Amino acid sequence: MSHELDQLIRNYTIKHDRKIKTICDPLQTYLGISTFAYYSIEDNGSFVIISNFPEQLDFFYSSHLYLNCPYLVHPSLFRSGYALIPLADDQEKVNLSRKLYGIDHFLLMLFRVGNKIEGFFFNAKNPNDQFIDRLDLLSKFVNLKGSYSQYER
Amino acid sequence: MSVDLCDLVNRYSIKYDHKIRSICEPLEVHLGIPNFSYYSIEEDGRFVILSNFPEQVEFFCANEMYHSCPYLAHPSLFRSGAALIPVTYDPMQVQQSRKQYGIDHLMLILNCTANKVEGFMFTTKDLNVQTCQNFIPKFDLLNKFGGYFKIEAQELINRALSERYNIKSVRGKAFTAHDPNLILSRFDKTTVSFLRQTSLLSWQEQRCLELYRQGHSAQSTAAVLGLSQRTVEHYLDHIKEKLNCRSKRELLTKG
Repeated sequence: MSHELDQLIRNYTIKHDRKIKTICDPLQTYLGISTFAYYSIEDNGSFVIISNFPEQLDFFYSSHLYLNCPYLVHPSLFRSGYALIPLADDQEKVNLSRKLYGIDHFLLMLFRVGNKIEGFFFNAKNPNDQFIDRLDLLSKFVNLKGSYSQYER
Repeated sequence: MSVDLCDLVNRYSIKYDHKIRSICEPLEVHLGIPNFSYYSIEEDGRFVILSNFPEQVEFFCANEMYHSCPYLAHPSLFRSGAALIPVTYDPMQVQQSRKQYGIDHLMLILNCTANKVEGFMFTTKDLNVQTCQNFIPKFDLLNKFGGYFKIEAQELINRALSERYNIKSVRGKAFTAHDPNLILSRFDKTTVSFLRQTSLLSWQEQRCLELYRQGHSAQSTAAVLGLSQRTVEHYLDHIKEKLNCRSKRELLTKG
């Protein structure tokens, strides 16, 4: 794993683990969503990621899944919207993640704001869980109607 | 059979079938969603429903399925959002709909304001609990389509609303009966708790902001909520502060 990414995970997701978990607590308590991650990419490549599940984030980077993740690219390539995406293209690694963490898919909410793109990942461990009837609440959780009221499509 | 509702279907969805189908064409062509219905209910019960699949709506009305449909109720009972719901809450009729039209579920997007609820219903033949995940990437576009449909069908919607169709008189007490376990119920305990815990605003502040965004003045907001005008102004100042807004105008986009 690149040293910079390793530092990013250590200095934020791991160091502030307790604070992040507290913020995400209502997701688990009321909606059964156990995993949340936020990332942002600016057009100059500046990158931030934080998650309430550092072990899984560590796995994502130590397995080099970020190298093939099509969503970790230039902001201009996307429109705002929702998607249900697999953890990776590599089925073996998806299987491993499922086995280790019970995670193989994510709901991704993507928003273009100015010169950057922000993504919010949600995961429920129960594979039968639906996100449709929670999209509105999840949008509120990421403050869509506040900070993202001016997002671009 | 309710003469009123079948009449509504005949006079609008069937009579203007060509126009409605043409508005809905992009749904099928670009998103593969052949069936769409729109409904609106005002707080006094005025009701309109338009569909590009009149046979199915006729089936719904002729079998009086509206009696058991919990979403055909007073606007104040709901919150905005999306849900996968069965076409009817009677399992026998679900089977019949599946057999006759290949449809047993629909995707409902509700858009609520204080005095009106609008429902946008989308369905395909294979829509069910498993396949509804395929709607997620389209969700943003479906919302946009809802706005487009309303603009294009505005004249029809207004005309139908100005007539005598009233869902309150058809459903009686069921019109105001609330089921807190219903998806998109405003009183669903889980939702209320989640929103309380994740919102920067108190419950009362949220209601003030909602009414303010609907164009109510401080005075009329106070009247609706049974508060004094001064209290409402105090709430709005607090909201401005919490949401880091410089003016009340900015409140219309933040929150």
